[in-house]
Order: sequence, then structure tokens, then C-alpha cells
Amino acid sequence: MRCKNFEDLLPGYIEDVLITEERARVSAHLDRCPACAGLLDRLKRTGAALSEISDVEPGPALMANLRDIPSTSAPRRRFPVLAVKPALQPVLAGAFLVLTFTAVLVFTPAGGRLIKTLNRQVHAGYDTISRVYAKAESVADSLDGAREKFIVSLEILPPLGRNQE
Amino acid sequence: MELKEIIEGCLEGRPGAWNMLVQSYAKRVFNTAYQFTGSRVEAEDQTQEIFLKVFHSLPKFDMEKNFDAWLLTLAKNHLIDAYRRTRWEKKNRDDFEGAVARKAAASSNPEDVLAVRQDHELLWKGLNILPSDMRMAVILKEIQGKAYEDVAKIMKLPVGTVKSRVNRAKLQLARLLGELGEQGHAV
Repeated sequence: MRCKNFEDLLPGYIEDVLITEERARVSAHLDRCPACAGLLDRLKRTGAALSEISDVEPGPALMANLRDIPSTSAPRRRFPVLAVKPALQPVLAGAFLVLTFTAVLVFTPAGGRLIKTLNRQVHAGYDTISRVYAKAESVADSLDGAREKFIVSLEILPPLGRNQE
Repeated sequence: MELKEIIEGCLEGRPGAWNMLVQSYAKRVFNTAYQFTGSRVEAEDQTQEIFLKVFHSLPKFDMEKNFDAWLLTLAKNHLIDAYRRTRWEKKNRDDFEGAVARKAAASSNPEDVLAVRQDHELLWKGLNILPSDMRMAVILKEIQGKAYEDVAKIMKLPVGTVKSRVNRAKLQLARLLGELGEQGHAV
């Protein structure tokens, strides 16, 4: 294991939460690695110094401002829509988006153009489908005709055995 | 008066209830803000904004939940958001105040006192090198002495994640202590 792996174990080593084998490995490494031993020492000092940082008193002006909050800030009036339960808010957002999109389509020139284009595309698509369908019908008819001709030709053919006779 | 009564009093606009709430929590919120921002002026501004939020959000508080955790979560979110919004203005911390170190002068050996004071100064400055989430975790756990479980509740994170953040933060600070110590304490 390299130093980096041991470094990550040092906080656990200080808190004594490593398993026995791990702790023994870290101890052995610390014995022969002055860099990691130094880091362990600084880590202990860091923990001690942080825990010694104590609270400071807020100033009287701040306390007075905080006490004045109810008199200086009127309660916010919430827009009724925003008072909807959180679970329903995505539904509300979805409905809002649909309404906005519809409004854009109906009430703006760009929306009107988009609708016209869509109409044209839909009609063009419908025409294409109609043409393909009509062509398919004619192909089916011609196939039917070919089938009938084939059957007639089979019927008029003399039986194979009689011909040989 | 019990906390529940104080909160109900605030909601009903009873005189004195809000003052009691401020009296009970102002120091805690202010110190969290001060340790996080490292600036008294900034901490005062942020504390006012946090209490304003508390005032407006109090009607939404669920009385069955832990008020301390609710308030500190609100404070934590506010501080981290404010830091992310205006990060460029918060590169520097105030000079280290001797008053914030309880035991710095407790030793009789002047060299020890000096070393401890240097450590405090370096760490106070060094807190700013930590990412905001990591800094908040180390403030709540190491400076304010909260249990990992309480920090996890406030930060809305799994306990394991909090432990690893605190450990990584301490390692970073310890490395900084070494680097800056070698450079002759020039932050």
C-alpha cells in the first residue's frame, strides 16, 4: 500500500474505528514513514484546534434588527396557485405548459403559420396515402385479372395423359 | 415556555413569542454564519436574511418535526446558496479573533500558546479552501460538536457521507497546516 491509502485511514485511526488488522498495518506504516506520522500529528492538532473555536456573541444591533422582523416585514401573501400541495405542483406545471403552448399557437402570427404548415403537411400526407392506396387497389385488381386468366388457361389445356394418348 | 408554545405564539402573533425565538436561536445561527463566511459583517447580513426566511416559513413548519434541525437546515441551505451566488466576494475571511479560541492561552508554555494560536489562525483562513458542503459539515461536526447523526439530519445526507466529508475536510486542513507551516505561516 502507498502513503495515499494510509492517509485516508488516518482519521479512522485517530477515532479508533479501524478493524484490528487495519489498525496494525497503519501503525506499522507510521513507524517507518515520517511523512505520514507528521500528517497524523497535524490531523490531531487540526481536530483539537477546530474544537477550540468557540462561539461569539451577536452584537446588540443585530439582535434588535432580528426582534423587529415581525413589525418591519409584512407577512407575504401567497398567490393561491402556489398554495397547491407539492405533490400536485408537477401536474400544475404541465397544465401551465400546455396552456402556454396552445396560446402561442392560437394567438401569435408564428403560431398561425405553424398551424398552416402543419395543415398542409397533414393534407399532403393524406393525399400520398390515398394515392398509394389507390395504386395498391389497381395492382390488386390486375393481379386478380392475371389469376383468372391463369385459371382459364389451365382449364383449356388438354389433360396431360390424353395428349400423350 | 416550551418551544412548541413559542412557535405557536409566533404563528398567532402573540407579543414576546418572536423575541423568545430570536433569543433562543440567534447566537447559534449567527455563529454558524460567522464560522461559514468568516466575516462578522457578512454573518450579520446572512443571519438577518435567515431569520426573515424563518419568519415567513414558520407557518409551513410541521410541529411533529425537530425544530432545531429544521432551522439549521434552512440556515445551511441559505448560507450555501448565498456563497454559491456571490463566491467571488467571499475569498477573504476576517482576521482571526482571539476571542474565538477558548483554550488558546490555557497553556503556561509561551511556545505552546504561540503554536496553538498559529494553528487556529491557519485553520480559520484554511476553512475557505474547503468546498461549501464540506466546510458546513466540518463546522457542524468539529466546531459545534454535533453528532454525525445530527449533522446528517441537518444536511439531509447519509451518515456515511457526512463522515467521509468531515474526514476529507480534516485531512485537507491538516495538509494545509503542514504546507503553510513550512512556508512560515503566510496565508
